Amino acid sequence: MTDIFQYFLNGLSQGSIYALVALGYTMVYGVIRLINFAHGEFFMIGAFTGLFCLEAGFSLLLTFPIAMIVSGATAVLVEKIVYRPIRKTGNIPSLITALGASLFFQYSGQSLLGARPRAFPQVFRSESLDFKFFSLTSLQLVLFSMCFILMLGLWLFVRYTKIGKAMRATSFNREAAELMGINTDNIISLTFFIGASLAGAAGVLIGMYYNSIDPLMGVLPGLKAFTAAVLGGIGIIPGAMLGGFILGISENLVTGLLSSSYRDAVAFFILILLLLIRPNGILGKQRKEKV
Amino acid sequence: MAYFSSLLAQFGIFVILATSLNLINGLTGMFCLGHAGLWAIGAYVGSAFSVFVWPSLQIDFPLLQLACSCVVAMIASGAVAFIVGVACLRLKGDYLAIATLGLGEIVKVLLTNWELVGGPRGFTGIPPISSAAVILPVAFLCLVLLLNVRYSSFGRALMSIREDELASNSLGISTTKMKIVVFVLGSSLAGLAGPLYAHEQQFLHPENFNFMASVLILLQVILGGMGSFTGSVLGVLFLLILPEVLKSLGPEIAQWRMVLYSLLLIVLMLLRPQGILGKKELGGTW
Amino acid sequence: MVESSLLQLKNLSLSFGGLLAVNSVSLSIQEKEIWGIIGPNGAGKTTLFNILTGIYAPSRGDIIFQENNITNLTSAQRGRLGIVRTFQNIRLFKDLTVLENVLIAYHSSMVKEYSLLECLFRFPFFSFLGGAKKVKEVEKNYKEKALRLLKKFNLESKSELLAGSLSYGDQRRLEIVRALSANPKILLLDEPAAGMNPEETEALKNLLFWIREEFSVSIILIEHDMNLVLSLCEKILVMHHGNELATGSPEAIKNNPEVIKAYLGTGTSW
Repeated sequence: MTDIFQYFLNGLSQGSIYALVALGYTMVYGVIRLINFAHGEFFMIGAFTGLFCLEAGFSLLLTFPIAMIVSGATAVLVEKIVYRPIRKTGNIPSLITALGASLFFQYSGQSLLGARPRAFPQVFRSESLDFKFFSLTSLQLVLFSMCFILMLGLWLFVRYTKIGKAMRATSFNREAAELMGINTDNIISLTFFIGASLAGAAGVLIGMYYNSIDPLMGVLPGLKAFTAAVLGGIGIIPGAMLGGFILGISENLVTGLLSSSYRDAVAFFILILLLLIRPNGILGKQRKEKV
Repeated sequence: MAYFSSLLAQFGIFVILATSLNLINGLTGMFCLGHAGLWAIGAYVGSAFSVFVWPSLQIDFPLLQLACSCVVAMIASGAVAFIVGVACLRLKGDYLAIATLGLGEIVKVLLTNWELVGGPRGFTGIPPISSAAVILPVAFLCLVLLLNVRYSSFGRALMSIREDELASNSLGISTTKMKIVVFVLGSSLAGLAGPLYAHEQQFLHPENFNFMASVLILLQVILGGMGSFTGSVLGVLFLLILPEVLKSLGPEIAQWRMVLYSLLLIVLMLLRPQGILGKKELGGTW
Repeated sequence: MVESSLLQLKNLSLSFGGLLAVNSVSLSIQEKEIWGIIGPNGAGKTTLFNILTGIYAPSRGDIIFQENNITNLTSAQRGRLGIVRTFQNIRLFKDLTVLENVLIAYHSSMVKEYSLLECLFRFPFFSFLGGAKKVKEVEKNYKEKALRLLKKFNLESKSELLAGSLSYGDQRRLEIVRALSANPKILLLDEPAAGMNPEETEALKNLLFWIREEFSVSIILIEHDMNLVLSLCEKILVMHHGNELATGSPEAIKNNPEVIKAYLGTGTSW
């Protein structure tokens, strides 16, 4: 029984990472209805940027913002150069382009940086805090708090600022938002930036947690984060957070109670189940299409 | 010579895979990203039959063995496709892509954990009863079969689903049913390619059927033109020759092959989304 | 309500969340009748069409077609029964040819004459397998049938052109031809005269009279062109905010105080 609580806690930290990455997926889908396959790669880019910063001697406090900005900027570039021209061609061409971008980053990363995992510098001395029924590491605490702060920040931003309102308007109805004087192209770029920077932060956190990163590290977490976003309701920000936590906890429960070799299958299993039973996700609403 | 023969075999296999994917993605307008998964099911089930069941039948007739293996494979892939199809084919484009992607990954994970067929070490000991001499005629037959579909009322109905599913429905065409049939047919053909491939290579590994494999097949279809079967053949040809050309330029260049493919995908969508032949067939209508 | 009507709508309602898009509409349509549905934008006209053709399921009410309750049938099933429509925004298969657009409408009929298996295995060099000959014959027959139909609408010469390349007027006509090819008993036309000048509208009117006789169909039109509606339709349904404001002959509708009030109120002129 106490084991389950431990798995639950581990799941919360894992889940907060998924939630951070899922937010980017959900926000981009919200504004332009595109599943950005390349999103997992922004996660990877953040991790590697963090690696280089730390190896260059920057402090952790400086590394985070730098990694976030680099990820965000990359996303904006990709959006402007590649996604935007294809948007009008159609849905499937856009998806294919996103796929191409994703593979481009993965394999360029591999060719440039080598396929072997790199050690992430140990800059944080993690202590184990043992309680009666479970134990936490201070690293997990930091992870969880960082995620919490970032998510809270995002939520406040979207809810209470003018730009946040503009983002929500754009995701409801882009044409109407344009007519209201909102520059939706800029809003879309901003959405990409924010989403990718969150993923970049998650990349650094994962580097700190597992002490090892590689160019293909974004693939599986990217897919899982997408599952989390769909689980919570794609396009819905609190949904991404909810989905992330549920996924993290489920994975850890399955790993702990069954077998670790099935860990990766959990996300896909949930995904298939979702698509069969409730494609709109937990918080999603049924939307009737007007003909 | 053996190398060339192997290349021809590869050509044939991918013609079957690409044209069958074109049926689903190109002609009917669905977006499936798990074709390699169905191929894997056929390969593994067919090979398992050939290695574990056939010997007990005590018949020494390699071609028949291969044929039975193929039939078993097609049934397996078709069955899986049917189940997945009934469940998922009412989903919109984006969601279907993810569902099929997930399917491919699940298949890979399951195969990696299936000890009977070697799991992560791979499936060895598959009898060498397939070769380019068998594969190429089958591939040709497959192409003709699919062209026959295209130039019939079924083909037109499928294209109408691609063009405007709502309008198609309003004319009395049961689009969901047709999509399931097409998905099962295309997946069965992918399954057919499985044993043909396995018995030529004599070895299988789950990583041969990963997501990148599905992407490669998709790239062949897109390059040739989504909706064109002869286009898919051209796409396969191009993507078979390209790595050979790259290899001749030296190993440093060749390792960038995957990067090149991804760039190709992007550039194609930016500059020529319809690929080489678009929706038309080589030689017009016949 | 007359007993043996072709199509009956009984208290059809549909709400989108809190919005009542269609409120308890009832109608009875006979064979070979021409109906018009009019009302301001947003009155629920196209929504009513969507309910009739199975795109939306009604929140309440029933649809009875030829004495059968079809409320739970899919769009495709209704299409095969003979309820066919055109769309406000023209939904032709733009990248397919004019001929192919019509042939697709024949699919449900063609499928009864040859099977998928016969299609798959017809090889020109194996014509003794039988399939090839039969398929070829069926294809030829339907192609000729399609061309004959297109000829009646002056579209035969354009049969090999892509549907998307036709002029607007031709596209509207093609959509009607395609709908007719699907063997309809009742034709639902959504704003067929949109964008037409008075001459074209007059031609459309005559065309629709002719279609009614030639194909023995009932026609329901959604239209904004009052002249067309008053001179073409035998019965008119006026909708307003999802409600059935009035139903009756053109004369009755023209003089109906409710209708006049609603229209004068919204600034629409006769």
